Amino acid sequence: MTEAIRISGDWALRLFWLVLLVSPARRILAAPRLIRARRILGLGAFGLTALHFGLYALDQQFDWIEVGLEVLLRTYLTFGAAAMVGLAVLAASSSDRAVSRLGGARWNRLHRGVYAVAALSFVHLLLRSRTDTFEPMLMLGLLAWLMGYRLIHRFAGDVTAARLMGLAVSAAAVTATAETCWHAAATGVDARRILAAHFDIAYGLRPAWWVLAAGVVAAAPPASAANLTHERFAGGGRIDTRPVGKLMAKPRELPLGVMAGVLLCFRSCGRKRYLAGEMAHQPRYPVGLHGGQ
Amino acid sequence: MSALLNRRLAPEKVVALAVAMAPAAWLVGLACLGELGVP
Repeated sequence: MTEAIRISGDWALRLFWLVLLVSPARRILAAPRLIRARRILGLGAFGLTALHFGLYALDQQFDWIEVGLEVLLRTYLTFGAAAMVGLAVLAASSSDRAVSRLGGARWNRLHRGVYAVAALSFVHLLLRSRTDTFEPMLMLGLLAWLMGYRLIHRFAGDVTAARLMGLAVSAAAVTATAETCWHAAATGVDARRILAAHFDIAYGLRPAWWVLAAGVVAAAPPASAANLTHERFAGGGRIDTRPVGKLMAKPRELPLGVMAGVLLCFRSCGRKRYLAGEMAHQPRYPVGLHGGQ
Repeated sequence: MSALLNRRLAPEKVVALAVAMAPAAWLVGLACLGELGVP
């Protein structure tokens, strides 16, 4: 039973991290269609989390008072339960209906909580794993990379290969530092010796190296794919020449398919043209187009 | 009904579904083989 609980929890986390990686992957690989996979993977992660909790409750013979006390008294279970509740909220609000009910901006704000859920589940895994910190630290490194990627995308605009290389090195440094501090605090061994062990192949490649490798791989495609420029009508008579990797519609902005329809409408000199065909699979955008009516 | 039958899932969704289901299927397989101690 313990094995089943462990496997379901580990895979729930791996799937969850895969979900987190979808957003940067679609930009870096210039593959916006990848977004279609995110909801399914997210629901899969939540399903496994529910199974993980269900197996734990089964292990306690569904003694809910015992389960509640354990969650309150054992710190790693408290973090795990909080992460599960957060994930349940995200899963419950992932349907098209929930998106249109909440509105794009509020939905985005709510789903930014995915990073808080990730942090909670990382602490849960780290406290449970104790000294076997390979996977938790790998996840921490990837999370640091993801947060850095978001910051670059938000504040610097262009996600260039050089910035991604810098991000890879920084995320690897964060991973190595966190692992060193954790082991130094847990064992009392000199932190410099633990840090030096990162450079000793005899101990195997530590998570920091894997984070660095993943970051370097992620820095390779943008030059060839995401930085290809592409023109589109951006509203107000202006042409948007952002790289292909950034052509995903933002909230309150029309997606490309609808935009092409609007452009064709202008080209047909005001003649009536039916846009329903283009809009059929974009449930929430026409609402914004008509002023929320 | 015919609309449902004619509806094709996007390949990204098919792959995501397979990835999302795989761990659960693996767990069920292990449980059936009696390797997890789950009744």
